[in-house]
Amino acid sequence: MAQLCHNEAELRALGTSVLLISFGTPEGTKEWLDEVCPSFPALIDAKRAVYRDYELERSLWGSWNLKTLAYYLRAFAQGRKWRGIKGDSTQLAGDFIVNPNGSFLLEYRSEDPTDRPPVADILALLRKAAG
Amino acid sequence: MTNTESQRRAPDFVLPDVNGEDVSLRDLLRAGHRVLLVFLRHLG
Repeated sequence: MAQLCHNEAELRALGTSVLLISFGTPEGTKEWLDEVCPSFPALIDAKRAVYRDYELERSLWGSWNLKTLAYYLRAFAQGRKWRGIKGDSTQLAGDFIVNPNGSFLLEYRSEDPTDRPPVADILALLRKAAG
Repeated sequence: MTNTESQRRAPDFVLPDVNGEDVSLRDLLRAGHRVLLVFLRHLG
């Protein structure tokens, strides 16, 4: 997320709006935003209806496996703050780019918490689409 | 990265932001923007 934040100016220059979607509380999400990425707007999907519409799955094994534990151990070793687990830790994430005509430029559903599309690839797709 | 560009249409939605103001995907698209949706996991 921090990497995405660092590229906010280029995303804007490419005509792209970024929306973060959380199923956390508004207060918890605001606190998280302030620490991690205050410049992007975050929307609240408490009932996860939009998560379901975008076919984002819940998976205990996908969320908590050796790869995930190794990721968190590395993150904490690098100084990441432990915020506790707030909400359903089995909910998997995803990233989507929607074109102005409503079609998808990218549909990416994470298979585990470490699985997100590289920001460089997202920017490359947007640059190509912008011509 | 698996890029699955498709002609499938993104489901529309209206959701409140952290201040309670409704935000509509369709309205952003109508303004000519591409929209990057980042669905978060829990906030831990």
